[in-house]
Formats: sequence, C-alpha cells, structure tokens
Amino acid sequence: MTRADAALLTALVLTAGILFVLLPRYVISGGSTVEVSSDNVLYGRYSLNKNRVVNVPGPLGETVLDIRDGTAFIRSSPCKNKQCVHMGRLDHKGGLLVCVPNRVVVRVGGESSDELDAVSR
Amino acid sequence: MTGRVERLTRMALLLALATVIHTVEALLPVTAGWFRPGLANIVGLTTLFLYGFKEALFVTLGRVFLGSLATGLFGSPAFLLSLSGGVSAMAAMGSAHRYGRRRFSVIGISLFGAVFHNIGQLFMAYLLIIRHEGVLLLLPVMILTAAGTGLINGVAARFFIDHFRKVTRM
Repeated sequence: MTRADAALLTALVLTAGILFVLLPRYVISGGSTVEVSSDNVLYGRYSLNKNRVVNVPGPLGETVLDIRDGTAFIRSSPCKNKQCVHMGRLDHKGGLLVCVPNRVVVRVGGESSDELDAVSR
Repeated sequence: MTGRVERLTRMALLLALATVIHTVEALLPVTAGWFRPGLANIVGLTTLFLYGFKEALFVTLGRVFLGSLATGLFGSPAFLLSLSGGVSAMAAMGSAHRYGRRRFSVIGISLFGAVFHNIGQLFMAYLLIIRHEGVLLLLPVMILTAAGTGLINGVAARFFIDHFRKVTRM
C-alpha cells in the first residue's frame, strides 16, 4: 500500500463521514406533511397530525401506511424482505420510508421541493 | 502463434472465473440490505494489470452478461445495476491505472473502482427504481462500504496478480 493509497482511503472515509452529517440536512427537512409516491408518481399528500390508514398500490400489491398520533409507519407490505416495515416510525423531524420492491416511497417533511418556496416580483 | 493461443486461453480462464464469482455472489442470500462485496471485480482488476483496459472491459462486460444468463436475471433491474456498476468501475479503474499508476498501487486503483461501482449503481437505481432525492442519503453508506470492499479486493487482487505472473511466467 503506497502513501497515495492511504491518502485515498482516508479521504473516502472522511468524505463519507462529512456527507453522513451534511446530506440529511439538505435532503430531509422537518415538517408534518406525509408525501406518498408509488412507482415515481405522487400518490397522495396527508397531514401527519390526522390519524388515517393509506393503502398504497404498487406493482406487487398494497403497501399499508399507517399515520397515527403524529407518526407514520408502514404496517404491512407485500414485498419479500419487509425492510420497509422494519424501518420504524417517522415523526415531525422528517425522513423516508422506502419499499424498493413495491416502489413505494413515503416522505415526511416540509412541502415538496417541486413546489415554489417563494415568489418575488 | 502460440502467444495468441496462450493469450486467448488465459482470457477465457479469467472470464470464466469472473463469471463464476459473479454468479455465486448473486446467489448469496441478501443479508445486510443489498450489500455485496463485489468480489468479481478482483478478476477485472487483475485483467487490467496483466493485459490492459480493453481486455478488462471485455472480462467485466462478459461476466455481467454471462452471469445474468446463469442467474436468469438478464434484462432485469439487477442486471442493469451490475452493468452500470461494472462499466463505471472499469472506467474509473482504467483512468486511474493509466494516469496514476506510479502513485497508486493495486489497492488504490481497487478503491477507485469500488467507489465508482457504487456511485454508478446508485445513479442507475435512482433512474430505474426510485426517482427521489432521498436516494442521495445512501451515498455516504455506499462510499464507506466501497472503502472497505475496495481495500479487501485490492489486497486479494495483488495476491492474484503475483500468483498469476509466477504461474504463467508473464
């Protein structure tokens, strides 16, 4: 292992560390909007503060999203690994629940980034 | 004449080895998410050092195609992920080998390959599976695992290259 190798390895670990701290701040912002998309298409937008159960259709079947007491979690999913079910609950601090096999993405946070933040004239 | 036959035979052996590793790896049970060590890249890296970029690209593309036929995943998202990962890793390792050979050893070039393999895959996953900026959150995880697998594969490739040279007196 040469010095350049060691420098590269160190740089990689540092970059990963820095991104690990910084990225979530840009990608996730807290809020109380639950945005559900299925197969890359927006399926619906709900408030985190109102209890409801959403059945999200995907290629494999229905992923059941439960919004309860200010938290959102995947209750059941037709996929094989059930990783989305084990991803836990999200609250107003924001975050993502993703079921890759059933192509369902649940995002909790502020308003979606494809809307305008502000308009100036 | 013998040189050409010898070369063809060795390339065929390398491709066969890469395909077997690729296929066995694809059959591994998914334990930690969809993390895989990318051991097949050891062969690609070895080919790059022993024969050159074109040959290494041939071995990489060959193993992705043959491996996908063996696992029955040809044309599936998993295949496209392997393909994009393999091609970006090969491009990165090819340039690193060409321009940074004096500074980086096999290990450094393996690290470049591993990182770009994961970045290429993540980009393809973004295009194919989830078009969501949340995919970016995986980037640090991908870079960190690449640092680990790149290191291990680099060390393995160094042994492989030394051994191959000794056995074939290249």
